[in-house]
Amino acid sequence: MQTEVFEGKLTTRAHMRKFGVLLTGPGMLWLIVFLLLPTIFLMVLAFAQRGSYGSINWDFSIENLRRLVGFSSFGWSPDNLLILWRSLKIAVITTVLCIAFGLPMAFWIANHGKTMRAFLFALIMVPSCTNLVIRTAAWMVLLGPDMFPAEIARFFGLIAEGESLYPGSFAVYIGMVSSMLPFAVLPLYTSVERLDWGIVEASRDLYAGPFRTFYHGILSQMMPGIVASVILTLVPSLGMYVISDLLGGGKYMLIGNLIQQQFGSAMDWPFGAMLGSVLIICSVISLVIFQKVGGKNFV
Amino acid sequence: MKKIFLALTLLIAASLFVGCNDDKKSSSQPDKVTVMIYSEYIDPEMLTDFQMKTGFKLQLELYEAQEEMIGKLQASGTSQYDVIIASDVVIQQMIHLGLIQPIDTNKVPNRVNIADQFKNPSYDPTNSYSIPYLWGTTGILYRDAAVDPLKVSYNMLFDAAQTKGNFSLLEESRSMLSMALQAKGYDANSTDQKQINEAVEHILKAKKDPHFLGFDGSVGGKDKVLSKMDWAAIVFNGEAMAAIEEDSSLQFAIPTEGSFMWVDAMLLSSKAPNKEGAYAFMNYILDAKIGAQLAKFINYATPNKASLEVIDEEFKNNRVINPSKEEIDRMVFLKDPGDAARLFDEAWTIVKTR
Repeated sequence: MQTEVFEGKLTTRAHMRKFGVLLTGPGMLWLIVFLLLPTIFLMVLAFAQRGSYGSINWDFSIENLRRLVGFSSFGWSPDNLLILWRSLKIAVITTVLCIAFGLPMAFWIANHGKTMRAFLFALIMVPSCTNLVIRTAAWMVLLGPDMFPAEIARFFGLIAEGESLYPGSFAVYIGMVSSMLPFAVLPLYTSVERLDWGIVEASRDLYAGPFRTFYHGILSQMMPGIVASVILTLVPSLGMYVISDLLGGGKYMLIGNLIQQQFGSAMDWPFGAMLGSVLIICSVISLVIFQKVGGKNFV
Repeated sequence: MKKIFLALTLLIAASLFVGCNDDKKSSSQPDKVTVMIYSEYIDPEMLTDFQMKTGFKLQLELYEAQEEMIGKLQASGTSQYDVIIASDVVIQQMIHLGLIQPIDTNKVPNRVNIADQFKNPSYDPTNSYSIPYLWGTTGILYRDAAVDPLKVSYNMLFDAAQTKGNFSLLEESRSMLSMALQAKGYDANSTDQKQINEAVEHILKAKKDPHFLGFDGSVGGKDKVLSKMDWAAIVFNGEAMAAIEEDSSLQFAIPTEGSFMWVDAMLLSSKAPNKEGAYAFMNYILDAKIGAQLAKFINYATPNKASLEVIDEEFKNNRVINPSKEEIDRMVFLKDPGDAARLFDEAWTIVKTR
């Protein structure tokens, strides 16, 4: 048996392997039981059919996939794809807004002393301790016709007398950004803290303008943080539908609504599983592409 | 790897053990009646009153949505519950899924109190699975003293020339599509693809109206009319009643083209551990006085004709809660669509996408 040195102790490979299994075992078990098995089940279920009374018929076919791309009882109609597209659009715009607001916020927080920083963090984090629905309902009150935001907008002639600021896309984005912002700010802040300001000084010494300095000196250093915050905001916003229902008046469906409808009132679990699987696959693919592209250009 | 398997087996064994334990608990106490019911859907006073009158302890298991209730029954089995209170639309489905069993109607003597319109209903043609608990209907709540509630048509919402203010439609696929079908003059239970397509177009036309504010649940619609954000909305009559009590300038109408009524019925769980107790509970609710007390507490109409005789005149003559004979004649029950469920689902997806 070959002996090895690990952390100043003599040990064998077999012993190390055993020790490794012991350490990673609980984590692996967790992933297998709560992630891998359910996902596999979901993907198998996606190819089953709905029975007449909402039960599951295990006749495998690609009918659900055909239905997803638009072959419905009403002939071909691209509604499901439209829904996916709309959800993606809202998620991407939310993410961009979150990063745009989050970057200056991260710098601003990092510029304060220790106690002030802790206080500012508390201000960001405490709202996310309350329930999402309650926070969204609070926006409904705030954006209502008799509150000051609506009155200010009325003063500038943005809305007519007696109207309110919601339902509408403006209200939806306010709700989305305010609930996702904490998840964008935290990773950004960590990368601001780790910035090597020497590179910024060097770039200024070499007569780079403020934009070039920001792009090459700061942004490239922060790329891992930006990638992390994009992932943390994009993925949850893709599945979010409570906010658009409450603040958007529920006029349009998002992919989250469609999936919920399948598991809820429509009692069509297999089609819901198909939608869920496609959403999972889409987000994994886009994350992989994003990481590759982000990695190449900057780091 | 061995350790992983060991842990897995332990985990499975543990979950089985937990499952067994639960079953034992409910079957070893036959003096208890377990009722699965919507939250806030019974007068809490009845808990003690029922125990005093029948000797059975009443235990409530609450749920918020039909799907949640069916999911619970399918996952944890029907042996945990005696009586299930559910809406008419899911009864056929529950029979087919084997979740409920026929009721021995001889054990429920107060059954004679049930009003005629709930005998042999379309959701239970043989009258053998369900006993009505409360019933209600859906109509239009609006803020306009100039409009006579007896002459309101769906065009009030669907015709852009007639909408005088913001309005919301109902966020419930089957109900909203059925109302659109009725607005077009078709049967609310139609499963004809062409007719459903016309109903979809009808809703989409209303969606283009600048007054259209969105789709809301019954409570959301009521709140928007109360806060004057909406001029009209589609709500359940119980909610409409609550709104009118708060603001007497509001009115409620059953549209002239018709509407649908729904019944929440008491069903017998297919593996009810305490059948006698279940029958005692059904009989108790069908008692004239108890039925009246329940209807007044929840603010919905009672299907119990004996209760109508003991209930106070004001409640009985309330047009919102107890619609007139004429209005009842315009109402239908929604049937389980069976295989046409997909048609309704896809129609609703189109409504919510375009």
